[in-house]
Amino acid sequence: MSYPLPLPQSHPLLTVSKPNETIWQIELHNGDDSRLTRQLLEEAFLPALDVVEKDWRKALKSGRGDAALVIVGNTKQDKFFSNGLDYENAIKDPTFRKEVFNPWIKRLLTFPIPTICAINGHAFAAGFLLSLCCDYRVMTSGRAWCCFNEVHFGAPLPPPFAQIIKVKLVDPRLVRKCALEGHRFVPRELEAAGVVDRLVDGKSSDVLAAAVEFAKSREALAKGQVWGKIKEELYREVIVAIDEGRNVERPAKL
Amino acid sequence: MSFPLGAASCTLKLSRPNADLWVIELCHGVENRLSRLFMSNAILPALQQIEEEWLESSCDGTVIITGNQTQEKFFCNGTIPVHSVPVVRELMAFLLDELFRRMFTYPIPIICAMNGHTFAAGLVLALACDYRVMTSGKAWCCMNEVLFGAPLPATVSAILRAKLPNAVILRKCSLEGYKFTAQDCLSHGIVDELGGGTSSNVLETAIRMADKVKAGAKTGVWGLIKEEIYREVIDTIDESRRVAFTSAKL
Repeated sequence: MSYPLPLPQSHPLLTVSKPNETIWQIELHNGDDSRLTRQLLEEAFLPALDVVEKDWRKALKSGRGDAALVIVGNTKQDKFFSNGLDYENAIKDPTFRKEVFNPWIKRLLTFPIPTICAINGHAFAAGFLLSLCCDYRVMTSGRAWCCFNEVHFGAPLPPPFAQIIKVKLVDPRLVRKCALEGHRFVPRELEAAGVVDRLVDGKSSDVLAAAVEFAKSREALAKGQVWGKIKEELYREVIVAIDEGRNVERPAKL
Repeated sequence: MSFPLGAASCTLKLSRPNADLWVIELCHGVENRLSRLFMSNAILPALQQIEEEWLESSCDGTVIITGNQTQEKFFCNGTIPVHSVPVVRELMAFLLDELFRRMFTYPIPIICAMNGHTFAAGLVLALACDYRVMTSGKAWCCMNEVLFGAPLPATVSAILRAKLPNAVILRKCSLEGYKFTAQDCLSHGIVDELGGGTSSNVLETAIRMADKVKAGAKTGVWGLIKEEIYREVIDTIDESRRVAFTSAKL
């Protein structure tokens, strides 16, 4: 595999690279705020994850099983990690959730090597979800918010979102604050709550460098080849919510 | 408004101090024992009345549920004694499920102003609310079923698991029947705030909290989000899961 690999090739929305022998990297650059459009997920993100896994399995066969994946936002700016879905278009697309979005959630959540999210800026709704689907989170200490703002703009939380928030945040009061109150968490709050593993001063490039360093500290966990399998059981409720195709209908009155 | 509607005796007083604030004062005696009629003819209709008023304005909103304001000893002491006839027991279980399901999917934030002792189903009622303010006075929260020999209904277990902060508190509460003081409740995250030592102080504290949480109702998805977060509670109720009831006394 030849890196860096921009995807999709016609109009790159992210780039896969390999900072060193055991660490892969996906940098989102769908504009500054990397909305998770259908095209980005279908033609870039999911293929990127396949590329990384395939490459790792090849290395595994040669006895080099240590591996980790870092996911970061657009490093040419310091304001956004990801602002989530292109909501208006997503709700108009009748097959998006079932054919693309939910499979992507499942794929990332149960990815077979440790995933480290470098939250280099604001992470809203599905952008925050992306970071929670990763195994670890390294975040800028600067001015950046993580927020599930669905309650503010009047969208019910899709069942997989609610289940991921529960299984990753755990404490009912924290889940209430996050999912029901749509609280805008600042980096220090997330670190204190154990949601973010490390805070990093500086710019996106500093956050990314720290994430790569963190990734190296966990890379050995990949070679047992059960990382993803264990996660499938730990996060069973998320998988079930996706497999059952559960959806929440808004009442017609409001 | 007085519930049950048209009844000679009142077991629930409903007031609306503000356009976006409703207060339910439970006054089924001082202990507020949950009986079938208390739930079906007072509490559930009051919640329905509030929702209909709120839907007319589609605005911010908070509901406060508090105990009998003429005393400082009790919030709610649980259900009336368990009936010996199985079908009556089942009717009771059914109504408790109805009430808790309603609260766990209710579209307006609910604050429980616990103005006194909160035992067994009373504690479950408090936990079914979104937020809890408790008197700082001498009052306990306790799941005492283990002490008098009753298993916890499946719904109750689901609610305790959904709302108690961690495994240690869950064990202490449900298995050890521990009597949590107000200070215990605060430090263990069972309640969110302590109010003053009188029923009216607790209510005032809840009213101040209401102002901070009322915006949750505005976009109409509060109940829908709750339904997913509390999926296990809803599923347990919808599947009518029952635990076989045996008691040393029977």
